[in-house]
Order: sequence, then structure tokens, then C-alpha cells
Amino acid sequence: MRDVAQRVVSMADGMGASYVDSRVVQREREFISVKNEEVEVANSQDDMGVGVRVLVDGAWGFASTNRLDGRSLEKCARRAVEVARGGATVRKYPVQLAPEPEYQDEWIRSVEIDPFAVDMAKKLELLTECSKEMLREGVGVARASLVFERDTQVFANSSGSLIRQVFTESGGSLYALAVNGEQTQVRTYPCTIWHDIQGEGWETIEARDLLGNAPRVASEAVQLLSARPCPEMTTDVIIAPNELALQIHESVGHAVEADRILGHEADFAGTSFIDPDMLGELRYGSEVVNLFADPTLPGSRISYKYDDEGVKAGRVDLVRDGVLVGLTTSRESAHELGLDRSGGCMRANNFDHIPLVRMPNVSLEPGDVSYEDLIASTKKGILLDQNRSWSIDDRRLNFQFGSEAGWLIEDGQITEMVRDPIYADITPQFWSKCDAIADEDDWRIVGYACGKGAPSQDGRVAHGCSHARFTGLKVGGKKS
Amino acid sequence: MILGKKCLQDMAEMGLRQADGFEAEIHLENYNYGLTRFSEGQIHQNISMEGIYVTARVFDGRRCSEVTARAPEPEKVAEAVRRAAEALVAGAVRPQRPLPGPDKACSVDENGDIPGFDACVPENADRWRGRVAERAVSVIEREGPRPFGRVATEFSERLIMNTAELISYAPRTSCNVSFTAIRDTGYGYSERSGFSLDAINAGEAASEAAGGCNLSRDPEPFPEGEYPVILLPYAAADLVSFVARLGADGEAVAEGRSFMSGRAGERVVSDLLTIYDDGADEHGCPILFDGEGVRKRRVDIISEGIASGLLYNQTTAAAEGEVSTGHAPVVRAFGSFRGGASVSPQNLFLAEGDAPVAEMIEDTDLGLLITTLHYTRVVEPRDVVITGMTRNGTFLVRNGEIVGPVKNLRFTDSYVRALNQVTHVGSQSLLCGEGVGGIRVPALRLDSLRFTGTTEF
Repeated sequence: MRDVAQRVVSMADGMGASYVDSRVVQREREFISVKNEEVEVANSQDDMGVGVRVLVDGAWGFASTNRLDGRSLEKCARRAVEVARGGATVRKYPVQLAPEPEYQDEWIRSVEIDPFAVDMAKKLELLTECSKEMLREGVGVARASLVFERDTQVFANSSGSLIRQVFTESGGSLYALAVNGEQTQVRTYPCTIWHDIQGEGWETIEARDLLGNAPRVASEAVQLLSARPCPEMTTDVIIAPNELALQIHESVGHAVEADRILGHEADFAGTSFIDPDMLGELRYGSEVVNLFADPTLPGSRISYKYDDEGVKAGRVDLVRDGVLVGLTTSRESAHELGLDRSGGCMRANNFDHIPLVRMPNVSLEPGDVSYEDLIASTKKGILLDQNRSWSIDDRRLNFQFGSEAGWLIEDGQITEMVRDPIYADITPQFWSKCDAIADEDDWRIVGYACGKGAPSQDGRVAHGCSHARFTGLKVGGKKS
Repeated sequence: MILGKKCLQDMAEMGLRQADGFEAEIHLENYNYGLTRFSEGQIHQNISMEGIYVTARVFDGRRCSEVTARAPEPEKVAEAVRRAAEALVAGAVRPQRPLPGPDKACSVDENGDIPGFDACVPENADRWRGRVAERAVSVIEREGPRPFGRVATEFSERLIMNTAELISYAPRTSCNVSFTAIRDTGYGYSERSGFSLDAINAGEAASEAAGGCNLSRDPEPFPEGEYPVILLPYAAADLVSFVARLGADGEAVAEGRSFMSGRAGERVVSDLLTIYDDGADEHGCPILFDGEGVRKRRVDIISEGIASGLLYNQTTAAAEGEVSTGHAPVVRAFGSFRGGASVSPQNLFLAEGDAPVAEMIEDTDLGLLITTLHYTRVVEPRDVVITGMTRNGTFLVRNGEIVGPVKNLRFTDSYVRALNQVTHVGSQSLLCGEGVGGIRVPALRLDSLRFTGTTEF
């Protein structure tokens, strides 16, 4: 792999590119899903190829191939250079990159139990048992899934970097859908979408006890059918980590992406309400709100030592004491913004996609109150658990989130379950309502994925957070 | 480069010989995707992706397994089948799924006219994208706004072959452009799609985006509430897509998850609406057969408001005593881990009516004209309750005239309820959507859509 990565860089370099980088990726993947005790998917995948990115006459070009013989590599390099030359005709200024030292290094994300070494029969038995446990009166769909992935990746560039990294990840989830002819209700565990994938091995599947949680998940889905709709009210809202993670993702993670701010996604996903001039000035949230990006957090599916531009990763503060202080950047956007170096946030979905600015573990720092005290100190409110729907405008301001379930809180006690809770707000106003965040004991990383870019890349993301309380938030039931 | 049926068939045959007596199915796709994106008049992304991948599925009546791999060489195809057969032994339980036979196959005459394939695309894709980007930037900048956009080309060929002697093969092409024009507070948008380069008039599309942008500058606030709306085709496509995808899945109907559950033959939306899926209609980007190699049938999902047809794959059809309509999702290797949908309507059409957009405006005393809907997500699937934002130009219509732009609004409403409010169906349809077959729809006028939030832009 090292040889392929370096050869294609050398080829494109010799064709007139002023900068070249390449990524060779070998991928193993398993996706198994059982629905209503029958195998829905039992798919294993392997994949390998190279993507080469070049700068020619100040314009980007990119090509990829899964043919790794010398002739195909040369053809791929030439295609990247030709594509770049074609693009140079529509150019206002030459692309420039923030400086970065060269590295020769290797980094392997270690796991305790290799998930690919676990017998397929054992995995299928677990899923089938989970599905069986969830199939009960009122449940129409009882699905249990497992996913595993391992990428071995070599990065090389024309500055002399040569970096090998290995990323292993595992996820698994339960989904119960209850139907009664008038409505559908869903409960999931441990996360609504994308199976809460973690940068860990089979041990993460064992730790989440899918089988032990299956009866509860199904039971709550059925209970929701007869629960009353969430009342319309302005109240204190405590948001659970599996829901808050997506809130962070949509209203912070995307908003601080430099490529969105600079307009690179304007034709598709949109831009951002943030202007670089707002750094150090914009009140993003209350003083208890501290947000950061840190690809070096252990255990996350998006933890790495170097990003896909060969930039050494480190922590970047985004919001400090409620004030916007940082952005997630690439080498190109860092240069455009006048920064000394990139924040190391570029990741590509696979060898055949270009790297994009991603949100590496954009997380909310824990507070200083226990989860129990957070509930106990809430006189009247609602606890929201698991996201069911999410939508936000193209500048990341006006959002509406729906949850699978809510539990009313009266005088510090969790009381009645309610269905179809929805809340909506405007980003800085919402984060300014945050008055308390649960402590480190409650803090966890939630694994997600994110569709971004064109062609769409289902990139790895994850967000760390604990339960947090927002005062005076408008909530209500499903509006139909 | 298009390899042709024989080349792919040879690879597939080599694979099927490894099936070791099991039933097996091979999918081969040879693809090339090119994309050029520009921002502020500068190309910032220019890519060319190519490859061949194989998915091998092996069955023995009660068990199945599936292996996907990139397959630059025939040996890789054989290896995928061998691996799938080995995994089968590990024991996955699944009900019998009848493999489709040759009577359901679809294979095109490579020397004749191929529906949905334009040979000019493989020959000119890279140069064409550059020229279109240049033209769009020039037109939009000349009219004042800042230009943003993307120009995409795709050519591919797909072969599915199984041990029941089905062989389906077809190449296809698609081209798609979308342009966004921004000028201070104004936003405009346009989109064009087709399987042929000739289908795209980039200058006209760029001018539409620039014109919309210039009209939408300095929007006024407008309160949430329930209003009549005129949806341009980009926005109308969203309603048709959600209603068809969530409503017409035969499995979802059987499981009680669809608004069409138990309502076959009943009126479910306005009688002005006829929605169908047709993989062979060249007014879209044809996709001739599905992910199981079954030739796609035209399915009239809703005929003049009546629930009239559902979509099935081999498995869901067998479970319901129906015949596959050719709507099994096409396997896209290395995509997401999202599972769930058993069918995929990829060539949707909403039949044209007789109302020009100008007439819809004239017939509106107080309402909103909406260019596009953004980030629409399901709040409740059974009633197709969706929330999302207006985007790229929202305009107030008063006393039969557009009086000015308004700031974007959030809506939350049942699309089924909304499609019961249709008063006018546009006389001119537009093909919307990138990559797959697309959705061809005209503009719509609805008597009400519920807006539940406002913005400051």
C-alpha cells in the first residue's frame, strides 16, 4: 500500500502538479440485520483502491481507481491532472494551502476483541434472539443490527509525508416499531440512527447488552401508542445524550465548518450564519456552554492521529464560556481565513471521495452537577430521549427536533411518559437557554454518521455530551 | 469506459460457476461519475471516479448471504461468490425468496437505440462539465449575483445474472446541473436533469437562478400560519417523493405503516393527481430493471386521487401473493448501513395538468410561492408528516400578483393532507433530482400548507 501511495504521487508530480496527495484504503465491512426473526441483510464487503488529489495551475483535480497496476495508476494520475487543468479555466485565484510539516508515522486504533474474529453464527444468534424478544403484541417491526468496519489507510503527499493508520469500529442497535392502525411509534437503543458506532471492538457490543434491553425497547414502543401527546408548553427541557448529540451536530458542528462558511456548500447543503469576523464576539450560548473538536479522544469512531490531508490532529476550542472562539478547518480554508495551520478536520468517506471538512468529536464539555441532581433540581419540565426527526435551515439557525419519547418532570421526579414531543428554536437562543450540564460520570460519546458533500459522503462523526438542561424552551406534540 | 454486455457476462459466468450448487445471483456495475462544483465563480471541486464492483448473493432456500467487493478482475467475482457460499454455511435463516427467471429479464440491444443512454456522455463528460460551469458562472455574474453550482455526469452499465438463467443488462447515462445565485439577501435556484447532454440548457438554467435571486432580495418577515401555496416543481417533487416512498411500499402497507394501508381503491389525495413510476419513460432518466434484475413495470400508484398500485420486490411480492413490480432497491456497494426500505421508486412522475404558474398566481388572493424546500424530514411516517424549510426564494402573492419576497418559513404538515388540498396542477413538468432516475413533476397550487416557524433571513 505504501508503494502504491508513493508511486501515484510521484507520477502526478511528474505531470506538472504543484501539489499531490494520495490515499490508499483497504476496507473490510460487515453489516448484519435481522427483522422479525428473519435475516434481512448478511453482507460482508471488502474494498481497496486509491484516490489522488492534485493542484495544477492553482486548481484542484481528483481521480480514483480500484485498479492498482502501474498502467492504471498512471492513467488515474493523468486523469486527476487533466481534470484539474479543465477546472483552471474557471478560477478567480490560485488555491493555496496552510503549511504543515511532513510526517512518517503509523497509528493503529487498538481494540480489545477483533469484531471480524467473532463467529458469524454467534452474531446472528444474538440478533435473532434480540428480534424475538422484541416481537410482542403491538410490535410490527423488531429489528436488530450489527455493523463492523476496518480501514487500513496509507496517506502520502508530495511534501514527503507517509502515514499509515488503521481504524476499527463496531456498532449495534435495536429498533422496535409499534403500530395500531392510527399511528406508529418507535423506540431504539442505544441510538436512533447509525447503530451508535464506536471506535472499539466486539467489547462495545457486549457492554451495551442488546439482549437485556430488547424487552424494554419493545415495551416502551407499545406504551407510546397509548401515551398522551406531549402537551404544548414552555418549560425546562432536559435532553439526553443520544438526542443532544444530534443537536450539537446540526446546530454547532455544521455551523462552524469553514467550507460552509466560505460558501463551498452553498449550492447544496447551504452556508452558515457564522462569519469569521464573529470569532471572539458572537455569544453562542450561556456561560456554561463550552464546545470543542478533538480527534484524539479515545474510543470514538472518528478518532485519528492525522487527518486525510496529513495534518496532525489536536484539540480546537469552538465555544469557550459561551463565546464563539474557533472553527473546523482544512489546509485550504485555514489559508483563506488567515490561520497559521489547519485544524486537521479533513476526512474522506473512502479512497474514491475527496476529503471534506468534518466535525471530529465536536463535543459539549461536562458540567458539575450529577444527572440525579439535574433531575431533582427541575421543578417542572420534560426529559427528552432519542431523536426521531430533525430539520434545520440552510444557515443552521432555525431547527425543529422530534424525540421518540418524553417523560414529564414534576418537583424533581420523572413522572408520565408522553408521545411525539417536538421542540424548535433558533441556534444561539437555544444554547443561551442552557443552564446546567451533567457531570463527567454521565458524559459519553455517541457515534453518528453524516451525509455531506456531493456526491454525498456518509462520513463518520461522533459527539461527546451528557444530559443538559435548557430553560424556558417551547415544546409540543406532533403537528399534523 | 463502457465494457459491453459480453465482458460483464463473462465475469458473471465465472462467478456463478463457484456457486457450488446453491442458488446465486451476481450484480456487476461498471461506473464512472464526474462532478464539477463551483463557489463564488471558482471551481473548488473537480472529480472523476470510476470502478467496477460486484455483489454476490447466495441462497439455499432457507439461508442467504451476500458479499460485495470492487472487482477489477474476473477472479474477484469468483472469489466473492466463494466467500458468500462459505458464509452461507455459517447459517442465516431467511424465508424462501424465488429467484426471478429469464421471463422477467431485461436486456437491451447494444447496437440499437438504448433507452436512457446517450453515447455522447462517456465521450465528452469531463470537457462538457467544464464548459457548462464556465457558461453558468458567466451568465449569473452578468446578471449581478454570485454564482455557485454543480455539474454532474454519470455513465454506467449494470448486469445481473442468476442461476435461474436470468440475465439483465443495460448501460445508462445521466447529467445534472444545479445553480444557486446569491446576492446580499437574495437567493435563486435552478436545476436541470436528463440522460442526454442535449437535455441541459445551462444558460437558461443559470439565468433562471440569477433572475430568482434578483427578485428575492430584501425579504420581509411573514408570520407563521396556514396559507395557500404555489410550489414550483423543485418543491412539488419533495411531496411526490415522500408520498410515493412511504406510501406505496407493499410491505409497509401490509404492516400497517402506510397511509395506503387498507385503502386500495379509495381516494387518498386530490383527484387532480396521478402519480406513477415508470423506469422506461425517457422523459425521466430510465432505469430499466431493478436490484434483482427484474424488468421494471409501470405502476400507477395513485390514479386521479385513487390508491391504485403498490411496489414490490421478489420477497415482498411472494409474501403478499403478488408479482414483483421490479422495484427492489438497486444495490449500491459501499453505501450506508441504513436498512429498511424494501422497494425504491426511482422513476417517479406526476402527470401534468393544464394550469400555467401564472394562472395559479392569478387565482391566489393571499398565499406564498415557494421555490425549493430544504432539509425535509419525516416527523411521522404513516401520515407522511414532514417538517422542513422554504429556501431559495419565497414570495408573497396578494390579489393575484407576486408582491415581493418574504423570509424563509418552517412548515410542519402531513403531505397526504397537503395533497388533498390541490387546486391546480401545472401544465409543464420538469425533471428534478440527481443521479438516479429522477422525479418529473409540474408545479402545484395547494389551498393550504401549515407553517410553524419563521426566520430572520
